[in-house]
Amino acid sequence: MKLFVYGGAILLIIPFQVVVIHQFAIGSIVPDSILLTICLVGLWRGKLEAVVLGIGLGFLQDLLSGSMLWVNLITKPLIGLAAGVWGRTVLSLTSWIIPIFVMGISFISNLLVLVFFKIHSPEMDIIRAFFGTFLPQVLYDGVFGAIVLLAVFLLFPTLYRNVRNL
Amino acid sequence: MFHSRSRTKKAWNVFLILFLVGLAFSPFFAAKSLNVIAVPLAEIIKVPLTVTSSLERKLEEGGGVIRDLIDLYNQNQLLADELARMQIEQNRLKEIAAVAERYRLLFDFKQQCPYSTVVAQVIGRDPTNWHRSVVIAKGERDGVIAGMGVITPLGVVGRVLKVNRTFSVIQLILDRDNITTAVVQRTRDEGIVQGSENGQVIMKYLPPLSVVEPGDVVVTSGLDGRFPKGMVIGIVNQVEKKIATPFKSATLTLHEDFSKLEEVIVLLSTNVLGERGGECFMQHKDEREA
Repeated sequence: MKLFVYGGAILLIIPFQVVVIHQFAIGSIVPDSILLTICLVGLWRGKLEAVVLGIGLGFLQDLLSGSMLWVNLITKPLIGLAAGVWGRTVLSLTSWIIPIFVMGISFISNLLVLVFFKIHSPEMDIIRAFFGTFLPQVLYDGVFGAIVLLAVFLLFPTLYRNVRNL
Repeated sequence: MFHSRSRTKKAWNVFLILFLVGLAFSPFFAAKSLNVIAVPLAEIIKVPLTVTSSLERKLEEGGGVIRDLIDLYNQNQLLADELARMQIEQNRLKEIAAVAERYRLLFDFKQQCPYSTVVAQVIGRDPTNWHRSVVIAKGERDGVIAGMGVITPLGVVGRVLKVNRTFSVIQLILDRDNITTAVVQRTRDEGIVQGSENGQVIMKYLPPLSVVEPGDVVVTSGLDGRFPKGMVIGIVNQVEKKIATPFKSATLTLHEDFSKLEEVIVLLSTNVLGERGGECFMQHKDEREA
């Protein structure tokens, strides 16, 4: 049953990120709904399921992206792990901490990507990449993530109670 | 005593009855006497009658107006529904016309282009912000191979990066990992065109004595084997010479907005087909719109 649910989630979220999310683009920056999904699963179901889902989603994200490196295959399970550990044991997830939480997760993910790309192509302009992609992405992920997570928690209060161990 | 009173009463009653009957059977006297009462009575009764009658008429008229309003409202609703349907239909037809126009341009281009090509629909965009790429609905089974050039009737789009059986990922020339050999059409100065982190396209390694200037058209040089010679890449927007490097570089304005790409053409081969000669004729978008 769980396999079908996660399979269905993957089949929904990947086309959403590849086709629909560009409607929400600010400049050329789009929020990472895959990262958000993994965060939510990490908070709700724990680190193990988030890591497994991160592997699946990261693989497909790399398959469809214009990168020859499999960076998302590495970063996405890692952020699943971080969300699972950090979100459930360290933080008390109140409404004002959600954007900071998502920004933190996005920061880790994008920092890893930046490091990978810099190692792979040393001529990369790190300042331009930081201000052109990294920073806008982290901020947009935080805002978008907060809106989506708050909406999910409002729609499903039991989920929120579950996440906060209430 | 009692009997005589009763008899008198009866006599009066009989008299009164006879008087009234007589009055009833005497038309001249009755009409005259009734007219005396009837005329003022009629005048009095006429007022409420007239008022009631006019009220009824007004109510009828008012009822008619309300009925008309209800009819108008219903008609308005029907017309609004019809209008909404027509607008949807009009939008659908506009969309079909736009698609038909795009396909006509692609078809015309394909007809006069002397290379083997395949038209592909763009079905998605890069799921990350770190790269500039699109996903097209053509793959290995359509003859697409990694490294092939991708164009539109307006100019160069990028190259095939990853190929699957039914879809491919196209790396746009905006991507910092994409490098294309190019030449300035007017001065014939060669260089390489590369994307950058902030989405700009830059022509690098132009000779230091190059007289390239804003407005010059940059085309493919054909040296990389991916594109034939002379395909439009963009127009020079700004030329600069940094102190740290002996070469000049130029920022390019591309021929179209890549965030709105809907169909592209994959160059399956850069060898000229059969009897066809010449080059693909590419127009700048301003010329085409004009």
